[in-house]
Amino acid sequence: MGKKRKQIEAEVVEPEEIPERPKRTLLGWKDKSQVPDKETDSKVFRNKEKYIDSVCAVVCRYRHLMLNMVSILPHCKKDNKVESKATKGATMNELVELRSCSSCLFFECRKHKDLYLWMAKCPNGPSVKFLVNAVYTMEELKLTGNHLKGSRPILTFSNNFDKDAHWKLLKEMIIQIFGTPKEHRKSKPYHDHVFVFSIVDDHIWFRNYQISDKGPREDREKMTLIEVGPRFCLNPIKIFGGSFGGPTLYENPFFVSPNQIRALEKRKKAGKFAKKVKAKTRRKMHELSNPLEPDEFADMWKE
Amino acid sequence: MGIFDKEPVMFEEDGEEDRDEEASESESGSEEDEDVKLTEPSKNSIYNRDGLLDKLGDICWPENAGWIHGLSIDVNQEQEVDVNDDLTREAAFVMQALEGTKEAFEKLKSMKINCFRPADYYAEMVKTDSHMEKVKVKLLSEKRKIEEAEERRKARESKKLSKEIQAQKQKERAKQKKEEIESVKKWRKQRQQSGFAVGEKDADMNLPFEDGKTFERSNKKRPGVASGDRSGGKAKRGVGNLNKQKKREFRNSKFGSGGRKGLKKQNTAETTDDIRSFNGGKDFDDNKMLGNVDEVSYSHEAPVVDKEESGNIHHNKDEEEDDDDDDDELRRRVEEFIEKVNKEWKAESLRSSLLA
Repeated sequence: MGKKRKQIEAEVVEPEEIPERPKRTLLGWKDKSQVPDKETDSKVFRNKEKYIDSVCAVVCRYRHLMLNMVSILPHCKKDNKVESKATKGATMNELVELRSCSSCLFFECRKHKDLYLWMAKCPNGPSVKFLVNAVYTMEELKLTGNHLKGSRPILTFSNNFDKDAHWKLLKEMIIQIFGTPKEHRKSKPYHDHVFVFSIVDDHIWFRNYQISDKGPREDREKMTLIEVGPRFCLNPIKIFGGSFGGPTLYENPFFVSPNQIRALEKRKKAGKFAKKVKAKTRRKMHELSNPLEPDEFADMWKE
Repeated sequence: MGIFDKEPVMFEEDGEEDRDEEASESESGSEEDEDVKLTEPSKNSIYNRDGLLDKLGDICWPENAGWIHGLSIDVNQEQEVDVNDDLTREAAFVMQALEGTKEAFEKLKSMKINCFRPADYYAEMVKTDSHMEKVKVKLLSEKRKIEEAEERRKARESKKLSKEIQAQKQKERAKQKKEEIESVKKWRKQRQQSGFAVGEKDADMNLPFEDGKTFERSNKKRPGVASGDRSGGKAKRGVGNLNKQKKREFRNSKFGSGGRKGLKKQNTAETTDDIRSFNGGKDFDDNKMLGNVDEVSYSHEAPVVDKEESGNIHHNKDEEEDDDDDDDELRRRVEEFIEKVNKEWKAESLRSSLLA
């Protein structure tokens, strides 16, 4: 135990790469920064526990994705469905508080088709709404990788997360939500999987790989990665100042909601028929306005 | 809450990027995959940079929190990844993960933290055993499928090749045979040259393969024997065989073998004009009778009429133009012949009755 504490001290000295900020709003962090020696690590990180739940009418695939997330994030507390649509923000905040969590992943399914993911820091942190694309659950992918349930993942980010303020914020939120707290009671001591968060085409792509040590233990070149799943792709829509509400800090300027897309498609199809009808009437009108002059040879062979 | 700073232009314009096929990850085209993006950033989108940074400051961990808490690694992404190219995109992700893990393990190692679990550390895994079993089954079935396909392909190819191989083999065999014969010949020659006595013993050494054709099938066509017939002509020694063949030929000429027959059997202008086939009708019956009788004479009493017959044939050949004379003579002779036969038959029957 003593050895471990020593380690913590050593690490705390190391500066973090995140832009400096004089004051913390999160109590636990304040505590830690003030008295790092006395606080045990696990207590500090109790705050980081996460919370997943989903609104009604979740398609099975999305439910499976949610369950996958629960299985790969050992520090989560899964809650039941949330019914109230109107006062979603308030209920969610209340629930998170009841479960004494600090952040929340909230899967929201609309129209049995579109999956939205809310990622929120709960008492007063920002919240982000994503549209989830290209969802593939562990079950359907049939990938050969497997890792310990509860080992702490290594989070890798592509360097374009530092490109912009909102990406930076998202990265910080992802680190706090997806990273399993150190010495969490459900976590296991080894590191055998790695999460990939990569921004490609303004979407955050998520992958989960197992780190397998088929080669000799010391030779890290021999290390191989085997994908475990699930896969999904997050398209950020909005970032709000508060948790589940508050002022909008960011809006994706490229975003088109799937509803609009579907409407557009429908309109296209509808336009086809309207065009046909229009053409028909126009033809009729044209025929009426320019009647055929009688043919002079029409009765030639009648006699 | 900060200044609302609208900066929509800060995104790179992606122009005519058609992202309909975005994330179309081969299998299972899920309906949310079609992802349309505005070609131009909308003008009134909010981008509150200060607010974002403020929030970031709010939530981020203290500086002195160690790396070990977050375990996050930044990885340089060398080049832009094309989203629609599944392979390169996934490769890029794997590369990122690999580099990240390497770096992370370096750090962990410097902290003297064990990364890999020992071989005897068993614990619950993310995927259950039943799930892994399913994966295994799927892999195996895929493997089997591939193998089967391979086998089919091989069989097809070998079938194609077998003909060539056979031809080659035959050629080889012929060559070998030739060589052997050649060698034997050579040996004989040498033997003769060396002065070996050509005695009686050597006579039977005079083997017929001198010409080198002994073992080949003779190309001489045997009449009335099919090319593949190896029975020595015994198969086709039946009496009616020749007759049958003739019949077949005639029928072939009449009805044709294959093809449409209707047109061949129709009359044309030439055939209607052609009166050669009409023979006036008067001596039609006689001719027919004659023919019949002739045949009978041929088969039954050949030795008796032999002379006359041959004469008749000769006659026929000589003077074909005076048909009538010839006919008369023929008739006379036939009548004679019939009389003779009848007489003999009567005599014979009488004799037999007497004996009885």
